[in-house]
Amino acid sequence: MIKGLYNASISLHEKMRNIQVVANNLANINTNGYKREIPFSEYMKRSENQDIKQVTDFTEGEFQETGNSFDLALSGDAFFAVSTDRGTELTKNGQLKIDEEGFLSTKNGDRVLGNSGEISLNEILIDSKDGITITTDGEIKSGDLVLDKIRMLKVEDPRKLLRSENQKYYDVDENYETAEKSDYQIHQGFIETSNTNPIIEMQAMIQLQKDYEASQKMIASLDNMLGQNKEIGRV
Amino acid sequence: MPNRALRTAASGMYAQQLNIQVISNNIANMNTTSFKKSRAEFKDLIYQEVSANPQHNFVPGSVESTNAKIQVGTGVKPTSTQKIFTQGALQQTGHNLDVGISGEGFFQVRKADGDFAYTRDGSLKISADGSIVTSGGYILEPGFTINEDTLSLQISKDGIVSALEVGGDRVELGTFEIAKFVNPGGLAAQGDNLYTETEASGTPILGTPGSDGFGELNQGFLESANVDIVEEMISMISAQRAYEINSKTVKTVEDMLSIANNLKR
Repeated sequence: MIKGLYNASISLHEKMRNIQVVANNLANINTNGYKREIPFSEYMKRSENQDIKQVTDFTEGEFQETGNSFDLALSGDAFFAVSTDRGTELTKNGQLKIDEEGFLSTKNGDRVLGNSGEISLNEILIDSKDGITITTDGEIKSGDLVLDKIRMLKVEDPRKLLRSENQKYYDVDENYETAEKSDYQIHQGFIETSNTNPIIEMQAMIQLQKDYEASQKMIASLDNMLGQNKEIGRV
Repeated sequence: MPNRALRTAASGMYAQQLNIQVISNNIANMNTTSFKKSRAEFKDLIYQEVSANPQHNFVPGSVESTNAKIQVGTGVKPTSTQKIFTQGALQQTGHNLDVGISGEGFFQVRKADGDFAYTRDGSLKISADGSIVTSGGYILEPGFTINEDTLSLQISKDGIVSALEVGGDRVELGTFEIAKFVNPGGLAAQGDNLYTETEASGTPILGTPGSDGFGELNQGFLESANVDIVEEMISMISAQRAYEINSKTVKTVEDMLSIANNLKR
């Protein structure tokens, strides 16, 4: 009987945590490059391998045209590499800018890595009359001048990646591989929208709430039964 | 824990509110000459590791394996607004001093404090002392002055300005130069249709209109705002619905908390 109470309370905890995941997906419904987290119960069903702790759904969001040459949308399995305080991290968010020192960086100031390290655009910022072109395989060009190539990485199992803020992902051991040309395509002038689907999240929310209610009912009836135990043997 | 879900949903509502502000500013400036629309940008916040099995926390002596931890996000935050410098439609005005730029480039003007600013608003005027100014009253640089004998001005596509004088003579006054940036998206908007350079935009490169990728000047035309009302309406619908669905999260969490409060009879 007490075991039943224990199980029901675990369920209450789990539902409350899952609503947090759903809340985060919905809060980021207009965050470009955001990948939805899969609520934990759904994840349990999917994973055969228990040591995968990652719960990110990497399906592609929609591509929206912006015409801004520093907006890059990425299709395929590869990631952009950025340098952060924690080392190299990955991102699919290609909304870039030029930072104060003339380096190509993400909107949050993490510098994008090229094949020869951080990418400095100072050379063309001063007097180039040509804008910047980024080819589908990541070459950064200004006119005929090739500046660098964006470093594209992939991981064996993206489900093992951990999440960090600003739409970034990382592997604790930095076990990254260089991506081949066939693994990805960069689209300049496009952004990728969040892949949160409001219908799925609404459905998850309703289900979570009903499950929560059911667990509460279970506790209530167990409580009732325990109360009636006292009546046994009374004449 | 329940608080976190509420705060996450609140951050989502706040972000959409800001989104609506940006959209409403775009719509309000629909008819502002050479206005460039903005887009709000967001980022997700830090992720916290929580135990996959909640009971581990309060069962004495239990060892928690790190593998059993999962990451839970904490919401959204607005990062910046991005100006989008696509070409606005050129509208014919027939006015002699209206100059629309088709293609890349900005007119360079001098602000009151002596610094340069850049604008695409080509509704030019002639000030009391004969210099060419924008509608905001900023003097064009490089500029020239127009004497009292001038009847009309002609501005060619490559920026050469010539004046028709009282005697019927045609006099070349000078050339308009326009400025280009490697990354116009990095310019800082100052209001009054003006932009100033930042480290991110790169330094301005002055050049002759119509050459080397610089835009052409069109006399008698003005560039209208690049705001597309249909697109703004769609953004507004999506922002409003996103706001609504985040409020549903708040309601759901509230209901769950109310259920939790009813656990004990």
